[in-house]
Amino acid sequence: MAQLNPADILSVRGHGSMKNYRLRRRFSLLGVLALGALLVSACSGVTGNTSWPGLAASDTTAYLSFAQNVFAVDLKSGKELWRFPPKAQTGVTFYADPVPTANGQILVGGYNKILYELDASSGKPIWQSSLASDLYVSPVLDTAEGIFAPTADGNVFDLNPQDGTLLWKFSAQHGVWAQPVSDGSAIFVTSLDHHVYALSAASGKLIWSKDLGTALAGGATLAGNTLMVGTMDDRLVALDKGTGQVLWTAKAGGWVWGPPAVDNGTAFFGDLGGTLHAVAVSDGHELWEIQPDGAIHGTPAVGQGVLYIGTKAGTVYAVSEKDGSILWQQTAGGNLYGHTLLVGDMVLVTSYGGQTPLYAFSAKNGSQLWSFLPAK
Amino acid sequence: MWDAIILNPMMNALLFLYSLLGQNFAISIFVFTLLIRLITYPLTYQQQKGMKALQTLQQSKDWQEMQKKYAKDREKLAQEQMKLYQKAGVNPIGGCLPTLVQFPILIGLYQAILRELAQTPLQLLDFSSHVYSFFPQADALIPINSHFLWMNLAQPERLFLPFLPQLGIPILAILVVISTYISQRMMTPPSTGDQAAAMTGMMNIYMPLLLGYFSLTFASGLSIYYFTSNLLGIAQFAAMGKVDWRRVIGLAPTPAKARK
Repeated sequence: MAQLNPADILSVRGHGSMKNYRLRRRFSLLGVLALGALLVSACSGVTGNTSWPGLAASDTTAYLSFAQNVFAVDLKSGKELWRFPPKAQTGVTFYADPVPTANGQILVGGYNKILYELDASSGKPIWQSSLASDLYVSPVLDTAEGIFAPTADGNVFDLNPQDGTLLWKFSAQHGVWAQPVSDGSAIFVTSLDHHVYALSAASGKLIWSKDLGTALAGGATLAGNTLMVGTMDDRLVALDKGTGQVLWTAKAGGWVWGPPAVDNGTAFFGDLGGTLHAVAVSDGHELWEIQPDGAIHGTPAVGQGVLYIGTKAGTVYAVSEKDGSILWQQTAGGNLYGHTLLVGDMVLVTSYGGQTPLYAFSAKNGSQLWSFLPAK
Repeated sequence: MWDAIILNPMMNALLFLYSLLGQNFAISIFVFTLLIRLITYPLTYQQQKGMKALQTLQQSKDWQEMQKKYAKDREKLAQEQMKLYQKAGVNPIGGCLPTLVQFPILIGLYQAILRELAQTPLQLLDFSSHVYSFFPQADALIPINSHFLWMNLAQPERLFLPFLPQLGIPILAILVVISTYISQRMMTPPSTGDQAAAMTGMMNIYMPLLLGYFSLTFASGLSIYYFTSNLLGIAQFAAMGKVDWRRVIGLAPTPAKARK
């Protein structure tokens, strides 16, 4: 029997000459290579259930939520004091900011839908609450009225500080990703369902709600009677805390995620378009704006007339509160999405995708004091 | 390259459907899968036509006789098979190219659904960065409302019945397993060799189980996509001609078994 040539085998109808066959084979090869390149590029960029590290600090210790643990880090040395859980557990991860409480404990919620109270000196769990049906994205609010725990399932739980039992709950239409704020008698909650809610701290009863027409992923800041909220449609909106009526709106150059920091009657906030704004709390008029090297996601830290912010490009800036002039800038690396903290004369920033998750800089000149990389 | 050519258009099209369809993401996934199936229909048709021709050829008398005649001479058998393919105008690898071309589209669809069900702040930032700046009223649409019937589309699905409050029934995972099994049985050609038959048999078991496992553990929005895609595939194949339902449900013997 005669040997078959490749052109006959691969041709659908067997009508291709050897020349046509070679031409088609070249085109097929190019096509497969182009397809391969497209598929390889498809493999990048899918983010799993991760986020940027969460951070809080007392006078002596930084608390870092990062991947499978919560870490306590000595502020002087940058060394680890303890971690929770002592051994990483599958499915247990932490990204919400931990919250040091008035009675010396740490409250932190996990992506495993559990809220923990930990002993601040040892990291040992005191109680845990499993009421949530979705992630703990944001820090809880610890007040004399109770612990207000917002969750991605849209609920805000008021928990008994002694044992974490439920006192009341309020349900929004979508997730609550931001820490509520309190004026003592009411708490103010921002939700992805576009609403700001004012609730009675004692009973959870709705006092008022305001639809701002777009997702409210970040929290609010309360300055006197003015409640300021950043929106996804590039605004900072000021509401009357008693009625929820809009007092003024300040236009930004991108999504305003982090709530503003307030000092001396001025609100300071960044946007994802990369602009840092200073506006008057009284009427929202712009005092100054500057453009650092990237998107600003977190809330600035404020102290002694200086603002400290981190950018998505990985740079930490110290900026004069008065006129926005840059006093120093320092590269940390990665994306600085988290809030910046000022503890004494130390600036703390967390980094997503950087070499280490936590950096400490001198507030005076920006020199790096230490960085923290958890031991394996 | 991937984002510009495949992912961004798909994510924006899916978001557009979501805005048109009453902000119901489950229905948007269904309609979007249907549209993708319609767009890729010429490729699927070509692939399924080739597969059907292969099935017919492998069930023919000539093919069966050739298998018996050259059972001990594999090289000769391969040569004769090629001749028979050529004579019948069937390309044994003809179904592969349309599948390859569809592959990036399916990956894109999968990624678009997963990314739009953003569960964490980082995922929401990522989602918003893919939305075209000229998309009308995108700010009012994001984040996606992931609730549909009893499901949260961003989480694995379980149905809790009032009389069984502790036992969540994975309805979607069960539907995905059944529909994948039927789809696999329907679309894989009957194998002619013992080894090939064993391979096909294993695929018919493992693929439904694998997708069932994904449905149990990943966002249920993806399960809706798997189920819809399976249903449309089955309907498309059935519409092309006679489906051997006896073979699909395992009542008719495969050619390999029949020869024994």
